[in-house]
Amino acid sequence: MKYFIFMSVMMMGVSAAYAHQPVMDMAPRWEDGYGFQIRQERYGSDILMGGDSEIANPLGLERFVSKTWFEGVYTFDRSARVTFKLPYIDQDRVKNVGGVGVKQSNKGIGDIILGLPLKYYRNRGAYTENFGFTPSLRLPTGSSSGDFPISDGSTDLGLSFSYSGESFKYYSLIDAFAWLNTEGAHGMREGNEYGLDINLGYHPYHDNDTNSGAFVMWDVTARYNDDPNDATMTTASGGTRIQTGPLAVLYKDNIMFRTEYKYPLYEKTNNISNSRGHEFNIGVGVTF
Amino acid sequence: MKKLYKNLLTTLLVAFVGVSTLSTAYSKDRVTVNENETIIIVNGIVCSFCSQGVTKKLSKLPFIDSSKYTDGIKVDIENQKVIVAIKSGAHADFEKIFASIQSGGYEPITAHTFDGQIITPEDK
Repeated sequence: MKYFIFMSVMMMGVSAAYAHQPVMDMAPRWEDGYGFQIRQERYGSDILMGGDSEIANPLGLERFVSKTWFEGVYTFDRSARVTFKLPYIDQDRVKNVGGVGVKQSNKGIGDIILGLPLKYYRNRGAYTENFGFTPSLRLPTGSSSGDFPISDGSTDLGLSFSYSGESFKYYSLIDAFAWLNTEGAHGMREGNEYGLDINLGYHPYHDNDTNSGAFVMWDVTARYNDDPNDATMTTASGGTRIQTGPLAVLYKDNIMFRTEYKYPLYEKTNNISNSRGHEFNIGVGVTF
Repeated sequence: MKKLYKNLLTTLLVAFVGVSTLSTAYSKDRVTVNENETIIIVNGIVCSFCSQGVTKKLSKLPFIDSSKYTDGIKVDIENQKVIVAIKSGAHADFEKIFASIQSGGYEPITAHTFDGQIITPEDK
């Protein structure tokens, strides 16, 4: 049965690694383990930024994005996994078109991300740590048509280097990554993206008898995006941002529930564009 | 403002290093083994969600008493112990126990039996 599910996933087009994700990153670390996660991500704002300041927004420009991710992972052994991440995107914006605020919207399947997380584990008594390297590929499975396309139609390469360590009470992760974006459909080219994530976590409760518990974490996310070219009509925009906020995970046996909030601590746009705004994530995952 | 972000990043990195260099010593709890059980000390088993594989692999062994605990296995992540329930009268195959834990993503260190034996993977 597990091979049927795995092969079905592979045939859908399979994977990438995600930081601070119990399903995908922490588990499964056993041979022939696999897992799935459904996660919803929402962000957006009607605040208009010019550089690092909010500016007047007489046209009411705004952008709101909702992504529902279906993600899966298969572990060959703890040092090698394959992952996939497939979004369904529902996006709306009001864009300045010739001095008029024009409402645009689109929805559909987005670009699939396939990943090959490679990990080197070291166990040190009451502490376990791993060093990770994850090459990823983003394939243009989303539509690049219309005036507000879901995808830029390009094939992109992602590289991530990470370290995470964990004791019974504490968790830490640092992840540096880059997405190298190539030119896609209609001459669109989203700029490269560079990022750094730092997470510190605390495990306040665990019950060995019921195999259930909770942990909380604080996340700091820093991103720099190169400018997209003028042909790009997707949500991509250039600039720097730092977001931070808490996340919480509840787990029972092989099921976990995860929720996350990120606050835009600092934003600087290279051109006039909307703030990314507050970001919410909620997800449920299971491993086998 | 830049100074604030620099200070924030420095604080986080210091906290990160602090967490990463926490004590790695095993719990000093004495290993007390019940009848028809064995206790395995497992290196780095501190995360319940990550250690499901150990339960999954061990519970498939034919001499495990699955009527106890979760499919015959209890993982104590605070003390890095895996308690394995053995069927009454059955012979525990420690080579298979150690191999199952390794397949579950961890390294077994020692197995402690009810009659006071301490077995290591090197013994097998």
